[in-house]
Amino acid sequence: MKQVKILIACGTGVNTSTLVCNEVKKICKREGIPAEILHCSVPEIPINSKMVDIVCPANAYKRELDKPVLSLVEFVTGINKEKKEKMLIEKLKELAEMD
Amino acid sequence: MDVIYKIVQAILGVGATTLLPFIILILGLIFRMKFAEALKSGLLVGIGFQGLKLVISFMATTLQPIITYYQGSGAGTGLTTIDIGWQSLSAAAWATPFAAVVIPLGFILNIILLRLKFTKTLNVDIWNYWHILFIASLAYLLFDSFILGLVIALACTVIVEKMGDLIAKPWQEYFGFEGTTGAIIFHSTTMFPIYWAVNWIIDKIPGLNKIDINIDKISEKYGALGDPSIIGLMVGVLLSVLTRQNVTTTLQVAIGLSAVMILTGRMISVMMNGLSQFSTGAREWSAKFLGEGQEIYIGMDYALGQGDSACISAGILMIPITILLGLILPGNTFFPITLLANLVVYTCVGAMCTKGNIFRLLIGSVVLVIYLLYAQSWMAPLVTKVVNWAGMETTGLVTGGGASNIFAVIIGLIGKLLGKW
Repeated sequence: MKQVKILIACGTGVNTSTLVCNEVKKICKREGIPAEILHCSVPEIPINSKMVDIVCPANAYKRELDKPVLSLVEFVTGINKEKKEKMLIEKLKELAEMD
Repeated sequence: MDVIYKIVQAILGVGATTLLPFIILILGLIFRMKFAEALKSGLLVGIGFQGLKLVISFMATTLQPIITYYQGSGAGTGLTTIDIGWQSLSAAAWATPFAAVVIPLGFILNIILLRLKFTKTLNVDIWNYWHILFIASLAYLLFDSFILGLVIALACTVIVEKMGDLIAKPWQEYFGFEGTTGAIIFHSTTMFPIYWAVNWIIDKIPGLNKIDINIDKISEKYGALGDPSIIGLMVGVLLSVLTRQNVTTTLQVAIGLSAVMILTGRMISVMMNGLSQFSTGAREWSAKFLGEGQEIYIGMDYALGQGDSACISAGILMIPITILLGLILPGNTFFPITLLANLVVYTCVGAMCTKGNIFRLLIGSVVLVIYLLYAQSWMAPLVTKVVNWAGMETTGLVTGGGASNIFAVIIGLIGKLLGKW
């Protein structure tokens, strides 16, 4: 498995992102997915997305990118979180196994 | 009453900074955390606060040449107040003794009101209770009554919840976050009404109500300009040029401010790390008491709405407009620094009211920023008082986002009328 680079983005970058970063770290560790987590503010997504495999905004980010985008807003609201967690794990495993 | 007063006085004697970890520890235990975890949370919050104090004092040193210029200009006015930002105000609010009382009581009141079906909003955004703690501290310092501060704070928690009920529909429709709503008192009762009113007025004007513009390209091309470090650098250079500093000072101010912008965020991040389990705890706690089947809107931070193209583009376009307004508005006493980095969060409140119409969003944001500049300038002496009370030393006047909260301004106004400041 190769290391997956995940970009987690949120607003001015403090309230929601801390929570989401911690959750994603926990999930990757539990599932044994090698991951590197990067972190930036929303306006910087287009620039930073070039360096990663997947972009996970912790909000309503809607723009299309040339990288897969998976919003993790459910990790903040707690609603449908299990479903989103499954999707994230699947996606990360898929990326980790790609060459 | 006398007993409470004495206890508060005793607490204040020890110093808020020292007590902060213990306040958080107690709150953590209330939210069902394990003792060791709660203790660690308390320490992290305390550490973040100490760090923020250092950053604020560094910010004051960095900006000293600018402040000295304006003070020496003889005009008596000028940009002599420092914008220390919501970050510092929130940290200060958490360090006041109100945190230990208002948060558990406010939360319990919320659960009772939910059971009575008086509201549908469950506010789990514990961090943003700081706006309410700040209002309570303001009332306490002006009117010297802890009980009054507490009563006002609890009234504010109810207002946030009722506003949450009202905002749930446009919030869910625009952002698509099922089962949630916005729950920050500043955004719900100050920004939301301003954007809503501007949108309502434009709707009534023939011709104007047809206008929409598309500036999507802005967020793609200039997105990086919205980054706090770059904002700090640009503002530093601009302020230095305006106050005729030499090259060395200009560079020092610019690089220094850039550092301040990043470091304040990082320090709040440390504090947030300590509090991140509170929201989860609050949600689990309330699930036990409410049972299944009741319709609930989970109260959230407005920053979740960010990411919408309209709000990023408008937020970035508002940066130069806000700088200009800060410089030309007569009577404004501070240069907006941290305010600039927050514009993208403010515009997402507006995006919801205007359904993403950028023309209306910009007009609304201009009205909002004019209000914020005047309100935060006017509140500066009071803000300085609260921040000092919380154990953060300052040189000269400071202000920040959140001070312009309509309820904070009303309390300031009543205090002014009664001759309290």
